[in-house]
Amino acid sequence: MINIRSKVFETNSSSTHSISISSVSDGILDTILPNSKGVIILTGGQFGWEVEEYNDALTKANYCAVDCCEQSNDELKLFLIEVIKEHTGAKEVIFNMSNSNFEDDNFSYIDHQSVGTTKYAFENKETLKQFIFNRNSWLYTDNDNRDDYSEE
Amino acid sequence: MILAQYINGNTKVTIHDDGTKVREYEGIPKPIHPESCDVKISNRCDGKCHFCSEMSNPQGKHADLNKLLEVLDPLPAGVELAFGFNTGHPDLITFLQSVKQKGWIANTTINERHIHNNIELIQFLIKNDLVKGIGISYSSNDYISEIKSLSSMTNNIVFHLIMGINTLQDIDCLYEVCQDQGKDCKILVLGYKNYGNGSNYLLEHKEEIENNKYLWYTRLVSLFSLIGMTFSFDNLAIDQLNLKRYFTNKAWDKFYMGGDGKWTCYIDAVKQEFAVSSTSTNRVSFNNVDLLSYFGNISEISTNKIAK
Repeated sequence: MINIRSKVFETNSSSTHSISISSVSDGILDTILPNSKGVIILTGGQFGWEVEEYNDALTKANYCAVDCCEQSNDELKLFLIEVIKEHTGAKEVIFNMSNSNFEDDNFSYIDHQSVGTTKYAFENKETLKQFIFNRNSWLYTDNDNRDDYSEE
Repeated sequence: MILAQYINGNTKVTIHDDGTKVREYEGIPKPIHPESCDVKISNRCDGKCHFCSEMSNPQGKHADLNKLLEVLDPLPAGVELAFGFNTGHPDLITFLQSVKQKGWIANTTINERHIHNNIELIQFLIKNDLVKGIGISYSSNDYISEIKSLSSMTNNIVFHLIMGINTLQDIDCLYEVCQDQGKDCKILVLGYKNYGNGSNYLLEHKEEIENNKYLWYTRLVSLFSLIGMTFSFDNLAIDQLNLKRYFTNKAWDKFYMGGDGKWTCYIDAVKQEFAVSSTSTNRVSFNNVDLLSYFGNISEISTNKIAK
């Protein structure tokens, strides 16, 4: 086992430098910043056929939120809210999106073939937290209608 | 560059000249002496900080530093000693020369408002390599020129900020100062101590402090990735920030250096007492036990707590 204290001497005259990390330290999770009232507002997004990759927490949280709405699953929605609140310290998480009204500013959807793809992330709180807040967890969007698409 | 290396029980410890410490061990670590001691060498201070947990005052007593050297004697070279600078102990330089001869690493913390009147002494200590790490308790940017003067002499300045008292804007300010000087910005985040004067201050400013702490709780992590920034935390801050939520299990095992008492201990040389930390009420007199026996006892208790 190795323990590392990065770049500081023990100057504390009251207790210990029990964690010391620099900007290059690995294994540090991301967050989503609540607004000044402690609220995180998820506005969804449109996740269709585009070939994209995301590892930022907000996009991944929004993807999960849209997936919950597409499945009309309130249980998953509450689970997601709980995980986000616990990790970020937010007092409230609000879903401000619509998956039925095209005219809504936050009209959101996931391509129908991809609905439910977050089910593995929702297996337990820890996996969902790691999916959303770990920058090594990636969300890829794509489609199988491209000329160069191969199931392999 | 390696500054010191020693074996402590089944653990190999390497300390680099930028303060980085690497600990290597197999199985459960069983240290036989502290890696660092937080040492109180004086109870005299004219800082009058309204949140002070130490209850130091202008009439406070100084410690007998010869007695302290006797107590520390069994420690090997490379062990760190951290002491508060306050308004200065009259035997400080002689003491630090002895510390250097023994190969111990002396680190100190000074309140920024005391720098101006002690700047020549601090510069002397840095130039003569009598102290390595210098903590500066930062409360406002009124003393930036003094801070810059010290910072130009060493890369080992660490700014001590208290969550709930200092603000996140203080970090922005210090980061800018360090960037201007081409230095890394090193911040030690201390938890809010609800003891001594701190408890009265909390009662009087509860809402303001709690709102401030909430901002630290939710927003500090967004500063972790700033280039040239180093953050460290004491155990109280780790607890109050619930810092573990931001780490993968692997990273936590790598970066968490242990609870108070596992690798460290507190020595109140004024009262001639040992304790797990400065906030412990359970204290043992120098007359009843020696340092290694005391440490062996608290370290084992700390290990057992983790095992449970």
